[in-house]
Amino acid sequence: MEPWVEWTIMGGRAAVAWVIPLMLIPLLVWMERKASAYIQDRTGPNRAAILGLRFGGIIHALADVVKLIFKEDITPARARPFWYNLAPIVAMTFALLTFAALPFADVLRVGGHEIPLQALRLNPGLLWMLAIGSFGVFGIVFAGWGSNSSYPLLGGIRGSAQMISYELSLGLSVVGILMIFSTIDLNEIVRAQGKLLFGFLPMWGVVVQPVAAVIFMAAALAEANRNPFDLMEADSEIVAFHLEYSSLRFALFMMTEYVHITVASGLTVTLFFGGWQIPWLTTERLTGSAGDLALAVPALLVVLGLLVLLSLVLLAPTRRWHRTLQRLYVDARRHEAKFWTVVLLLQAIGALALGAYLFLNPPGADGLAAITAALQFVSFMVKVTFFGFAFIWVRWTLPRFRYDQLMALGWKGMLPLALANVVVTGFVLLLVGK
Amino acid sequence: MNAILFWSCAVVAVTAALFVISRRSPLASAVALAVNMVALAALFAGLSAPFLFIIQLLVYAGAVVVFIVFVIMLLNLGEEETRGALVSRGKLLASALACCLGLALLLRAVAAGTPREAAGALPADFGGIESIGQEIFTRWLLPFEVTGLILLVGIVGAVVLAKRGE
Repeated sequence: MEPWVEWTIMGGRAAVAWVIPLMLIPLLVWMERKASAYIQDRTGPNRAAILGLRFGGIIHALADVVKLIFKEDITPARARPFWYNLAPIVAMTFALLTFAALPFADVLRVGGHEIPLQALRLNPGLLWMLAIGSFGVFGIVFAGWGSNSSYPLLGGIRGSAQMISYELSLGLSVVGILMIFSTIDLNEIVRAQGKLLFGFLPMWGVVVQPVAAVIFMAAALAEANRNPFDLMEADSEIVAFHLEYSSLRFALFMMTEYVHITVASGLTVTLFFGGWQIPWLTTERLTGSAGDLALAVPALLVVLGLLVLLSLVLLAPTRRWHRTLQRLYVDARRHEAKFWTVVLLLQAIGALALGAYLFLNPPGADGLAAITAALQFVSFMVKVTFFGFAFIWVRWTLPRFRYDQLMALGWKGMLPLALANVVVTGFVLLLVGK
Repeated sequence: MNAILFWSCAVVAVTAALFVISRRSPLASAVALAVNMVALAALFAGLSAPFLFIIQLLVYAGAVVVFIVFVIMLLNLGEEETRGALVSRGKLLASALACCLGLALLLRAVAAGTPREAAGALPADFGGIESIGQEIFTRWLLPFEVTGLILLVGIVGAVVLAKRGE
């Protein structure tokens, strides 16, 4: 391969690992608002619009950005400016770096070359996640100490103590996974989860290590400072490390929280829910016998396109529907239905065209590998988005812990449980004779 | 090892080490220590020791320095608290000893001449987690377990000291 191609691919890999968490921020913010609204029997944000298009309230994320950019950026007079300014940058950087080691599809084999589809192909990839994850504490400490006032300091102490405590359970819960799959390469862990247990059950981490999965997800929530561990945002007693921040510096902390959610759900998916694996369809099966995929994908595309077309015909903006819209909305918003009709129509045509093209020109080995990687990427993103939603779901369902309960749960509950899990896993592996 | 990597990491490590001992603010010292640790980790990575690289990051920069920083914040140490007697007899003695040690190491390095490239190719799994695990849990098992015991004694001792006041 020529050097410039290699460099481009490397840059592309890094860019994908950089862009996924960043692009998920507005989506997660939107999901947070809408989910909380529906859980509390409200409608949620739906007012902000561009040319009458509201996109179900997602425009509010844009409005937020505009608001945060134009707010006054305040540095308190008594703050320690160096640390105060460094804190949000440090927090964001390490949160983003953690995502770099996650594989978003299996190694792509094209034209005799192997392209690992993860930004950072490290043999000890799992340890990288833990190491960089523990660096996140620096952001909280710098903010708490740099603000140089009482409440941020207390919040910083609380937040960093929480992160340090739950890191232990997080690390120990992963040990069971390492013992079963006997590797710390994240891509190998995902590959191992493609095997079948008893011939029908995908050997996902959650199946072979259910206790570890629960501990890991709880600890990951605590690491992300999310409810039920989000003492930072307790309205009755706001003792948060980012109390003094305003404008974009505060926005960076907020965005860091959502990047943490993406990282936590990415790790949960990779370790316990099969990563990029599509259940029962391993990479070998997808790329191996050309029959399966070469027919299934175009057929699926055609079916999808036809379904969308059919639903459009059924729900087409008839005259009666149009009159209802006219009556409901007297502003530009009534054009939204038209807009979405056009978008869906274009999607259906695109799917049909792509399906027809693949039927007429069946993909070769390289094409199959590319399609496989694309499908695996979609599988990974669907899972990550779902667990991002699940973490939001938890937030609006469970009440918040008190600080002493938080510490008691971490040290007296989850840590011994994680240790016991390691011992039991060891015994079971010894009995099975692995 | 790549010369650019080595020299940039070495310069960063030494500069950070100088910052550790020269800063007034305890947090600045601690963070300089973290930077020093990361630079050392990068040196390990350049010496094809990926496991040591990640452990250096995880244990020293990620855990030890984080704890130091946490304690600094817990005690809210500003510059005022640390402004004691800057020069004392003990400190002078310790510095002299450290200088002697450093000088001895430097002399030995100079006497040995410039290190050559490692003879022969390294085995494929050199510095990986499997080879290090094999070494630790077979050949060096006893020292490894004794180290664990010593750490346990340290923890128990810390708890006893902390509980004495009650």
